[in-house]
Amino acid sequence: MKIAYVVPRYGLEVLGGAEYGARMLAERLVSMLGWEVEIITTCALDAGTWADHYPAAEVDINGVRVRRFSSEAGRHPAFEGYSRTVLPQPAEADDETCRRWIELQGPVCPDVIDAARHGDADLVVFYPYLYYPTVHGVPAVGRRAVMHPAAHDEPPLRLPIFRDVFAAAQGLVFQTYGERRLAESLFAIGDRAQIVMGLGVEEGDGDPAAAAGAFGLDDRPYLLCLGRVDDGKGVGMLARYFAEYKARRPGPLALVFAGPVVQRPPDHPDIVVAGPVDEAVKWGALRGCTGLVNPSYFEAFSIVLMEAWTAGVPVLVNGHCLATREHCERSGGGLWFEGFAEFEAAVDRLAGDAEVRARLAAAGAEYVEGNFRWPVIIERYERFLTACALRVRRNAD
Amino acid sequence: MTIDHKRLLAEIEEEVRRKRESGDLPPHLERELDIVFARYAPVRALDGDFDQVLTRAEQATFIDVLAPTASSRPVIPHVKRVLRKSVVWIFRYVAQQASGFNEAIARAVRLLGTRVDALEEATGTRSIAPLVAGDGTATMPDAEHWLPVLVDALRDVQGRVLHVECGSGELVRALVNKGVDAYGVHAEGAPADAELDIRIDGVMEHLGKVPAGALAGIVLSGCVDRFPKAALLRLADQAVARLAPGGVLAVVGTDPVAWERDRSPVEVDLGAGRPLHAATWAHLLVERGLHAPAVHDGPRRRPADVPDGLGEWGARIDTLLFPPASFGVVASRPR
Repeated sequence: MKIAYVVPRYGLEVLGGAEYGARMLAERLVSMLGWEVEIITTCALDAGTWADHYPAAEVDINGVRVRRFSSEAGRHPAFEGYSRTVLPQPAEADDETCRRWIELQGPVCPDVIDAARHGDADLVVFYPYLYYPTVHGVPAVGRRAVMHPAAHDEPPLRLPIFRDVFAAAQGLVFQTYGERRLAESLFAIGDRAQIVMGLGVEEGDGDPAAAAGAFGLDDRPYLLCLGRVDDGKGVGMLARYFAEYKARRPGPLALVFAGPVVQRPPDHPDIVVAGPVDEAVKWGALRGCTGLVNPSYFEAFSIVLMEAWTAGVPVLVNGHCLATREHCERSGGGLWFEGFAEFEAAVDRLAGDAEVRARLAAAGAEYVEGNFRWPVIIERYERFLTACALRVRRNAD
Repeated sequence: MTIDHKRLLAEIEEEVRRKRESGDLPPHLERELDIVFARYAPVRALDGDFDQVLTRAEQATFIDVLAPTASSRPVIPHVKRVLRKSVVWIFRYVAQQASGFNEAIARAVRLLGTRVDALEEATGTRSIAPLVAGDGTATMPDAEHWLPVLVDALRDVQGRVLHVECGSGELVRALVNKGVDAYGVHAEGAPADAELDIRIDGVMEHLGKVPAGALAGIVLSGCVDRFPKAALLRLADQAVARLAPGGVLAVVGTDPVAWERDRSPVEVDLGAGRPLHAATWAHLLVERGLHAPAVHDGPRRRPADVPDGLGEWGARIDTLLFPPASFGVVASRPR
């Protein structure tokens, strides 16, 4: 079986997000199933500009053949302004407006589309739904197209252009049931082959004491927020809530933000903004924290929840986020909040009751074990892709 | 080590309620902080939950006239505070009127919601809903008899085949084993088979997500024994519309006589729906443009304690007393 992935960027330096998910899957299809996998992508690294960073060439990354093509255009300076006129009422946008929005967003790379169209892969897998390569690539490869939309409830998803994109894919891979419900509520895709799969997680090494030392916290208990420190991820709201919590509940509890800093939350004596951390500090922090908090509303899967449960800690999430709340409801391994009152009561429980903490973490760990270990994921993915390829062959006969 | 998650959530909810009642969390502070939360969770996230959307709308009726003055630059906060102080009386005047209007609208919608609730109770719509959605048990009568019949009818179709209320997926599996690209939907609670494409979804909800003319075959069972008449007519409309030219539609239902015989008088009298006769399904499908269907009788279910061996007359009496308990209607859409 030969699979081609089409993603807007790809590389060891791309951590988190849909492209990271694509790499995890591609590498495992090679190492666990022995399939031939190639990546068709641009030369971009920075998703904010899509500027060419890598050379336009063919390289091997962990057994996966990667073909990079130079883009005609990256993120246009007019994109943000154009978005402000289009996205308030996305469903009203006509085809020309949608196409312009996609091109301004970038990366505009027709060579990627040509390579996908003329390649000999049994299936072409697109990941995620939002960008030029998927919008133009899915219709171009016809029934060979399988899409991982990685969609969450955001205005662009309602642009009419995505109706045709979703409808053109033969198979759809969702990360959560919530994502599938959302997609099915917007597009007539009920008859398409589908699977709800998510990603696998592997436990890493890391010492809790070393992580606490790196944060300057020593023996203090702390909540951990892992990922991009960005207001759009709910970080500002969490910082505000935590500051209010500490004003009402003085004590040793701290909050650590670990991840690339886009918007720094206001300074507070009990809040540590650690910036990006390596894998050892990340796993040490996960093992040593009182609980992981993910305040983001915009999450398509949230692998950090799986990592927290793997490390043996409970989680606290935004109750309005489809993906993270679904994980908590299905696993019983976490709590959620829909306002300050719930946040305060949940943190009280997490910080003050070791038994509840342990029981939540155990439920989460069981959920990860049953659903999000690589052998489980790859076995289901193999079955799904094989059925999709069979459909293509039947159609060709 | 297990956890009673529902109980823990209920305890947290109770703690929140107690905090609000005791005044431990002042309403103005909670409202201010909830607005901060709302900025990061658009109201459309709550779609489908009327009460929550309305509660959010009620919270949003409050307009905060005190704009934030924080800034990373040294003098700006002071300038912002001066500006805010000088114009706040205008904003307050406008905000009071806007808030009053918004509150009135939110209140009116709340009252309307209460009246719709009352209407649903009075007409029984709400109590019917779970029956319409499916109870996750009834799937196909005489399944052993019908499986080979359906596989035979669908084995040569080109395209996807949907089994509505597929239970644990026996028919889907049998079709897949014959090389048919089949999937199924079933109401919540059905056992999931990881090897098959089986979705947990309502019948009407799922058909609503399928494009017109997209399916090569559809098998309707389970829900056809349970839906009210109006829902069955809509089901027939929806299913025929989703069938591709040349596609096959099969209905496997319980014979109405057998259905009544096997149920208590209370269930027969008060049940929301009941099955149609095979002839009625044939009529409905022809009326919607399908070719004249083939109507198949199911097996006769002669009770074990009824003595056999009464000869030809006994067999005739059996035919009258124990008619087939199920039927199959198979029709195709003209190409």
